Amino acid sequence: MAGTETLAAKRFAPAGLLRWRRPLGLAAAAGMAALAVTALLLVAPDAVQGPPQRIFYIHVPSAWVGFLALAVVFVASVRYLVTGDPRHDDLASASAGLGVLFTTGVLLTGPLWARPVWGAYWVWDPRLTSFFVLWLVYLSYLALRRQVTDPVRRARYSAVLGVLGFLDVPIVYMSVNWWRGMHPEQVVITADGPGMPAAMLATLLLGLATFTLFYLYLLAIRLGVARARRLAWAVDAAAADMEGTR
Amino acid sequence: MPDATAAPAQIPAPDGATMSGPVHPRLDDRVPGGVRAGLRAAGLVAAKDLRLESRTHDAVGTVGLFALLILVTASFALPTGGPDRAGIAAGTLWMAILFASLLGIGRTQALESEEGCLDALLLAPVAREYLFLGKLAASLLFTVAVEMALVPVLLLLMQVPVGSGLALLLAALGLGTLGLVGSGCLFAVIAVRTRMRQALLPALVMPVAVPLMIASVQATGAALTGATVGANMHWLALLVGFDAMVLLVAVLAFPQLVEE
Amino acid sequence: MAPDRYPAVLFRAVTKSYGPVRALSTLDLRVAAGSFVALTGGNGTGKSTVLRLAGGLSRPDGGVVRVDGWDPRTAPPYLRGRVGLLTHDSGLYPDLTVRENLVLHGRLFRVPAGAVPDMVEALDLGAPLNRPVRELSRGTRQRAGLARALLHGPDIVLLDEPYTGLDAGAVARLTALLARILAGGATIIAALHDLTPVDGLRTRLVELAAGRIHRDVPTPVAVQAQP
Repeated sequence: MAGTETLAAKRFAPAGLLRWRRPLGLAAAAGMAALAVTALLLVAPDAVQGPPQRIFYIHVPSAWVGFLALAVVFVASVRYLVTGDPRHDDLASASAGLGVLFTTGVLLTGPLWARPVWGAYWVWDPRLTSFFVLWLVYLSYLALRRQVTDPVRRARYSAVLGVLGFLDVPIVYMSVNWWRGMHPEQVVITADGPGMPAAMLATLLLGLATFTLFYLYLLAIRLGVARARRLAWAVDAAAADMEGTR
Repeated sequence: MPDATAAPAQIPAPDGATMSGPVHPRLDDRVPGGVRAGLRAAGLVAAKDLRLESRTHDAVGTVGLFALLILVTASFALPTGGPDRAGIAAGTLWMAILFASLLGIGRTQALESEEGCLDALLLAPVAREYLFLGKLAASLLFTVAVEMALVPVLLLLMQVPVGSGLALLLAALGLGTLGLVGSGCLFAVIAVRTRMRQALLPALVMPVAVPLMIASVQATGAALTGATVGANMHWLALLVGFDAMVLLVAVLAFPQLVEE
Repeated sequence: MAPDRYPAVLFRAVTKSYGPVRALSTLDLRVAAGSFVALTGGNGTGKSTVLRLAGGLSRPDGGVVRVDGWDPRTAPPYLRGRVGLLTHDSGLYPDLTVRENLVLHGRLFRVPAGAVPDMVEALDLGAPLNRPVRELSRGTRQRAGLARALLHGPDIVLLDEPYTGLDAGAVARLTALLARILAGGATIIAALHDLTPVDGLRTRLVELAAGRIHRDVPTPVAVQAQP
């Protein structure tokens, strides 16, 4: 059965992201180490905010990945609805699981940063609030997936939620911004405004790159698991088929 | 809107075989299709829901009662008559509309799957998007009916006048309800096919509907302080955008969602 | 391989799974127009799935389903009007009366004026006509569901255990109605546990097992009685 072996190998060969798993992991690890050193030791703290400002180097990259993950969910969901290929659903669910983690990171680091700087753990800052809603969208998506056992229907339903959730994000941000931006007492600190020292900017970019690599690495791992699962199902189904001709 | 028909000439004629004869004179193959037939079917579905409601009084009666109780409880729980009463009233109103309408929509959708009724409707010779429109229209009517009773009671309990803000109030109510009922009907189709069934509906709708709630509450609150439509165009524009997005996704996704 | 008659229903290598459960495994089935196929097999062998797929309510995971040459899911809507399907459920709104249910479906399918009384007569639904479906007995509800499924005079009739819950009189009425439909040129596929009621009508017996065809036997002409 050499022909079918090659066929199976081809169909399930690690494609795209999976092949880059190891280099991604190494690069992410190296980046994290560099980031830790740079952010904690090398870069000077902000003149006004002091040491707590360093959380910024984790907070912003986490937010970036949290948003990126949802964008991936959106694209994968659309492609699933159009083609029906379950591998797009694998990508969507893998990305959603990671997105919720990084967004949780945003919601944890935000208050840690806010407390020493603004004096309160939670402020209805438009961006933090929008991320709170983003987090809820992720939870809703994951809850829905747990509620449906049939893989085809689970993929279809969560794809619709994924599409709607992503399209909703700019609308959420606008609404929260108008809602909370109206109050003059709110001091929205934009540390990424003009005039950020070059060192801080460089560290931030390092953080963004590292977190993106880390996300891609974790995504590759999850996709590998999904692929292995599909391979196992295919073998099971083939065995059942052969058995079925009694 | 999808065209519901194609010319009969496109049916592949069976080679040399005779087409089956009818049991009794029945529907002509050249059933007029297109948007008019679709809207007619949507009307039939909506009328069916209205008739069901007149039997059971679930969607307006029981749900309306629930909404009223939310209002009453809120007026005990929250400070009324204070300087911020317009904002509190607006928030309370929309909470009541949110929970009550989701309850009603979830229940109606569950009824459709109970006896295979929705499956029977899906067999009808009409583009499936129109079936969704029919359900949407009926749910809208029910929710608006509840609101018409709710708003006067709210104004009374919360001691809020309406005055010059009436136009804005109506606009906010109309656009907000459309978005809420639209997302409710869309996610209800999904929710009833899950383990928790329609109980999952609020968990699906509420995160996505956050901007709708913010915009509706803000606009309604402004209306209750006498603000004009002109000063609040941004909220209304946001509602229009949200409604368009939800309805577009709903109409496109509905046929896929009802397939097994 | 041009067939001399276009199959009314065609399944080619159709696979359908519900999660881990494989309902149909590369099923091949051709049903000629005008035939009456009795579909048998134990519980869970895929009979209901076959009917749902032919009715366009489900999408196959693999393979091709064609009804009169069209995919029932993507066919122009008015072609769907030529298929009639009765599932395990009656498809009737419990809080509406039998008449209201039938009139609703009649209008949706644009049936002519005489169709509803015709069906009421054929299945003896005169008595429960104005009672809510919720109040009806099992057998009466079954008859009402059959009326709904057959109201628009479909060419392709798909029935999932139509005789369930029917008493002897109702069984005879249904058999007579099916005979009339068959004589009119329709194609019938009925999932059945008990074949006796349709012994005179069926032209073919297809038995399913584990999602495949286990036995496919045309009924000898001698056994087919005259309708």
